[in-house]
Amino acid sequence: MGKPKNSLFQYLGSLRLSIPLLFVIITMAVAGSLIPQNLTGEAYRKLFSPIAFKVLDKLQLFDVFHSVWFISLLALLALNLILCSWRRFPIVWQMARSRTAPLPAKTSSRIFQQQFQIPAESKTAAIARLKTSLQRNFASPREMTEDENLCLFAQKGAWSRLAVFVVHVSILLVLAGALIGAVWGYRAFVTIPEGESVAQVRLSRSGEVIPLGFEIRCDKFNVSFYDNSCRPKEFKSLVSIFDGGKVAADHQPIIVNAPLTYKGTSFYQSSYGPVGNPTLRIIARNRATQKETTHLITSSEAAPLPGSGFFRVVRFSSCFQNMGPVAIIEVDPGEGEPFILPVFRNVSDMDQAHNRGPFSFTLSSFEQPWYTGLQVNRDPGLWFVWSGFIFISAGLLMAFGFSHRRIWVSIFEQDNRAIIHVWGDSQRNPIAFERFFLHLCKILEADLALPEEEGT
Amino acid sequence: MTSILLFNITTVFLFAGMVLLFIYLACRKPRVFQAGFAAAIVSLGVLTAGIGLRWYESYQLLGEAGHAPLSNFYESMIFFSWTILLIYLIIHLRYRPRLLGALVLPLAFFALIGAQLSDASLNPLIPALKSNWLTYHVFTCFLGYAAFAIACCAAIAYLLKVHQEDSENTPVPGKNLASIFPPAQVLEEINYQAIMVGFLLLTLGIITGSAWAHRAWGAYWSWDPKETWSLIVWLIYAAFLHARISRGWTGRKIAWLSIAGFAATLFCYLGVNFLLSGLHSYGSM
Repeated sequence: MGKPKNSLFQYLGSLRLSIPLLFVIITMAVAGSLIPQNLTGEAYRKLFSPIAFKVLDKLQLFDVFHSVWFISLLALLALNLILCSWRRFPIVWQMARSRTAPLPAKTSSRIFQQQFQIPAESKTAAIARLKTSLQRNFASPREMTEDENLCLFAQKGAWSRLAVFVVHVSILLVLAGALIGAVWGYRAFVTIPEGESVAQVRLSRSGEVIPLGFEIRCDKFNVSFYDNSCRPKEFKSLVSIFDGGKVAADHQPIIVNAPLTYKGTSFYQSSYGPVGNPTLRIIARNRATQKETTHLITSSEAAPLPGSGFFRVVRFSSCFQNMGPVAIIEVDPGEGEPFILPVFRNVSDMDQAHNRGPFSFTLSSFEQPWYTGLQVNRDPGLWFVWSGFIFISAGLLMAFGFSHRRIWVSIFEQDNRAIIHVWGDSQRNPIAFERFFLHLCKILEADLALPEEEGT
Repeated sequence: MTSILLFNITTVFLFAGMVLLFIYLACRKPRVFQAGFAAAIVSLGVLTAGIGLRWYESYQLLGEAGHAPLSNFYESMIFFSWTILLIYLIIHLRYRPRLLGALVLPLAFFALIGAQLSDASLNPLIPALKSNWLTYHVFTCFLGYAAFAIACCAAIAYLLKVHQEDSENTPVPGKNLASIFPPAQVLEEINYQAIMVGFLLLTLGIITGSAWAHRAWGAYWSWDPKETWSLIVWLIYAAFLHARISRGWTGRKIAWLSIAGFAATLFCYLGVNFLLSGLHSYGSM
């Protein structure tokens, strides 16, 4: 009973499996994109009824792309690709390599045919002319005999038949790279306040803390904005790396789209945030005497004003609408009601408009300690993925840009006439090929009709 | 002369071309087709100039923060319209399918209208978008989308053609709308050819996007809705390409698959931007 086993093997390596399998994967992916993924249990309970929650959770639909189902489907797809290539490769390899091919069946629908006749006595000369003409207008022909008749065969682009294998093997390469990355690589995240170092990072999926094997320090973080707007221009961390007592990187920048890689571990600028309150440098100017006093102040303190009264920072934002940094201060002039005042850095004279109390205020600068948030990642499968990507592109270009085209010309004698029969077929793009085929037949016929002396 | 003015002129020409091609459906006078097709060519020319001008304007307005006009929803819709017209022109030169235009031009027209309904402001790029990959990624993706759009139009034309062939017992030549469509086989071939081109371009789009995501976020694939949907589209067309070589998937079935593929493409472009949240949020209005 070897049959069923054999037919299962055939099924696993056939399109009868591939196409339904693709649709099942598509369905899973749609589900994974519509159901929010990897939220907390609490968040899901708000979205779904308890029963729906239970069912979806059991089916692993809250983490579709890492579910047993999905991974198994990808594995099945990989198996399908391997078996299909395994079965088809020898046949196609033979086709791509062979220099001749048997004359096509006359009934085949994808075959184009034309025939014309010449007097039988000029047959030998005609063969020579056909050869030259084919050589010049298509490809170098080879002679073969079919049913004791002479036949010429010429082909172009036979190697493009192999393109499909290049694509399929490359897809396997990408899947292998993804698997290697999942098993031996990691994705992690770390936050480092300015001036501090870390030697370990937290894995994004499991939350587990793992050692880096070296130490990384955030020397400085800076966010810059396009003039006066709140549109960020650049997020930049300066970091130093210390490995075994020596400095491996000194004040190296990490910006978005330009990560830093050390010993296979890459650091990407990902987020940032303030550490504690900013220190503001606010200048108070006495309107009467024009005398200025500079105050270094954090938002928790109150600063005394010369003479009497004081002010304190109520709120601070490093970016307010399109006016840059702003501090909201409360001024208590000592006599009269306290009042609230916005103080800008980029917009001067704003305070003039208020014109309250004996002092005018300007924000001269601010010092905000930041932390930087870095995505940390290690992926030994990356080169498999990249080479897979390159070969997929090359393979598709080869498959779609070229086509295996074949021309047969047979010559046989009948009733004192030599009948010349031209066949042609093309792996793809039959409409364009038909045009070419008709054109070629015209040329062949014209070349045969040339006067004797010119044709030889 | 501003780019906005040029886009308005394009809209007018596209509308005129669309109307002329509709009239052609009714009267089938070659002259009318030629006029409509000429309007489409002019549209493509003016649109090209408009996109070039907007590129120039971005440098004028933003100085060194100027950039290729491929950075937000407005610019992407205009570019989508441009790619549709470009691919249509290429297909036309190869196959001369006279009535495909009546299906294609409305798409280009509505893409342009969609652009004009959204925010046209020129802004400097946020850090995540500051990368050479931006141009390669958007360019390949949208050319791919446009190829799928043309394939979808060819599939619809194919279905109309076959429907007409089936339903008519006593054909009245010249009276039936679908009778002037190119032969069904040509339409099926256009569908297939456009999908081959689109599939290659979408593959390049996904790969460049993936390389860029790796560079910017440290992950070449993170199952973000945009990534997932681009894979869904890719898988649908992969199924299409394989279905064609296996038996049982011919004619109407394959035409419907092409239409489904373009529906998924539209969801990948518009649906994901407006209905699902993710990393591509700068693509929304």
